[in-house]
Amino acid sequence: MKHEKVAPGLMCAMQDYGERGRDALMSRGSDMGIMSLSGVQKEPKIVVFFRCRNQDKFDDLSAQGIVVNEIQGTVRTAYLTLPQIETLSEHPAVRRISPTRSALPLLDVAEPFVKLPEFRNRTGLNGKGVIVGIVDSGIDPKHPAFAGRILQIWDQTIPGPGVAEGGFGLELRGPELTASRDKNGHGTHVAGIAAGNDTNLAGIASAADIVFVKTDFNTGHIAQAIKYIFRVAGKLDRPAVVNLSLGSHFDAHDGSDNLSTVIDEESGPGRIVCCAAGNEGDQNMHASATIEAEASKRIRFSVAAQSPGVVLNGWYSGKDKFEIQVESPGGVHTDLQGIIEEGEHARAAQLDDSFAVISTPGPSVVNGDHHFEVQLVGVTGQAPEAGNWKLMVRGTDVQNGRLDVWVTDFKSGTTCQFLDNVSEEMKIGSPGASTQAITIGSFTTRSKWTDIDGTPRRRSFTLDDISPFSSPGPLRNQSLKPDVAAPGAVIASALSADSDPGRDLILSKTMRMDAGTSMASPFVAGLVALLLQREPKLTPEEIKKKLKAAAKIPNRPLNSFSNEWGFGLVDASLL
Amino acid sequence: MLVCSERGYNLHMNQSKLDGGLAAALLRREPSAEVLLSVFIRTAPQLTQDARKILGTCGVDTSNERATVFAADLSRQQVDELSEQSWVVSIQLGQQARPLA
Repeated sequence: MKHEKVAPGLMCAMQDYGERGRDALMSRGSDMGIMSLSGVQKEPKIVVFFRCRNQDKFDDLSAQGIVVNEIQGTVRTAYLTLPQIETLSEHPAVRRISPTRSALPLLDVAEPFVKLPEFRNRTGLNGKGVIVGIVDSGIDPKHPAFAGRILQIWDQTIPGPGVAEGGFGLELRGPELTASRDKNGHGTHVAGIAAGNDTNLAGIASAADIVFVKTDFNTGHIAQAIKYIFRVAGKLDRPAVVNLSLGSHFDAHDGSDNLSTVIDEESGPGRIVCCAAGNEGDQNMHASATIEAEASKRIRFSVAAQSPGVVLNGWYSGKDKFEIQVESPGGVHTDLQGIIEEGEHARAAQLDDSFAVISTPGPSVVNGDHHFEVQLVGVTGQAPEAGNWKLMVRGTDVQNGRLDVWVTDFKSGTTCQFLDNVSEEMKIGSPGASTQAITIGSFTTRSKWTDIDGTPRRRSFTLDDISPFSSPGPLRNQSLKPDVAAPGAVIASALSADSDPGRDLILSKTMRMDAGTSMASPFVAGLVALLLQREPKLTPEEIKKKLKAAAKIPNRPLNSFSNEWGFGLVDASLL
Repeated sequence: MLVCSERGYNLHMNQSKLDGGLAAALLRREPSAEVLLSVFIRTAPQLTQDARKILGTCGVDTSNERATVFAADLSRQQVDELSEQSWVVSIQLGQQARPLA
């Protein structure tokens, strides 16, 4: 060991580890980028910086299992076990080894996983000249990570004359920006991943300019927000990538819904949209069944106490005709309701202490399929009756027979879930179902951190794997989604000063942790901004082709697809 | 040319072009209510200039000539009038999405 080359903090950690083992590293995990502390099978690893000369080669280290992420540059990174740090220190070209710190929370853990430092060093790209558009809960305009780079905000929640795309909300620029706030904090965190840049945060496209739309999350307003961002970018003659870390399950799950169609129609050369796949991977929110003629299928679903209301969204072939019925936990049921082609197609019935409204319209004018919706509310307008309900579906004219039903309550899977015919696929809804959008699943690069009070925190995610919550595809029409995966759990990024996520998630006055495909999507949106900086007229198809070619599912052949990973974790060094 | 206006509620609104959510929302509101509804208007492709003007008077952005789906906040009278246009395929109520974290 060449002790003189090893930074003091790292040296202390190594010595402590030698005396006390893994326990010694627990408290250092988050501030030094130490990984794989959970489980007995994995040896702790740490992301390090080391200094060398610009053209030094380290190929000889590969025989000892050491992979240096960058092929040139005076500061390189590597992901090492503690014994490998000793090996690295003895390399004659290595001048100094330092631990990464929580001061660079994205860089320390997530970015090396996708070899972003190598890509940056090779290309010098930082997103300059590109617009990163974000439609979300708001952005903290005073956060230092965005200083001087927020061009404008359309705050849809502030009364005002609106913009060309919609006559509501207020458009803000310059000193007016501070009129818009982010009390939720989601949008600020997302923006930090895509384009944050200060001494504590290294976002992906750290020099891109930001156009932000604070939305009320109505899908119509989201569609108008996308058009707004592309118009603003067009006037500036700059390429743009729009990030949508949001979703719903009211749609047909085949990309034919309105918001997905708007994305398809607005996308084009230099106009790219990235969407989160969804967070329902571990929830029983999709049921699938085969319905036979003159036969009934019973699908039970549980409704928790105090559910805000439940909506079941069912779709089947336009060649089939089904009748729909629901039964309360007390055994009271509606009439069987067939397709109602003319006039009002919704029928309401009181079932004990709940109201059930079933809507069975004729075929969709968009995709030709049949659709039904079941809404359950309490008779007093409050929660529907808790317990196990039954959805009965009877085939009257069957050629295809396939039925898919999704729970669309606001917290799907937590207040209502299917007990029968549970399906572990097709959980990507709108807008992730859009054909032109790049749809991103979440990969887990971190499961532990230490909060602002010094308390160790953890999430029960398996490291180096697809996140359990990441919604799987394919779409209902068998189109392949998600497209790729990127780090989404657990990610450190910007904290909105107006938000209160709980101290367990706060790292410092300006940083917080969060997890979700919401975090994976801006990771790729930032990458897309880098690609647009290099080639401003890239089309969605071209970018998807590049991302997929640079992605890989671990232990699977190249170009493999899985419902959970898409085409795999993006390796930026191959872009 | 028919222009969107704030005239009285048309009982002959083409209900077949409205989705269940929008039909229910219209039923729940008094005809005189000035509440705007966030909707998607799906149209036939390649709209005529007259059709674009009608959409424009409803506050719809039609700058993308290849677009067939438009988002807008409409009064019930505007929904009423647009539902009668032959080039309007459907009008659907916007839904609520949620952040994915």
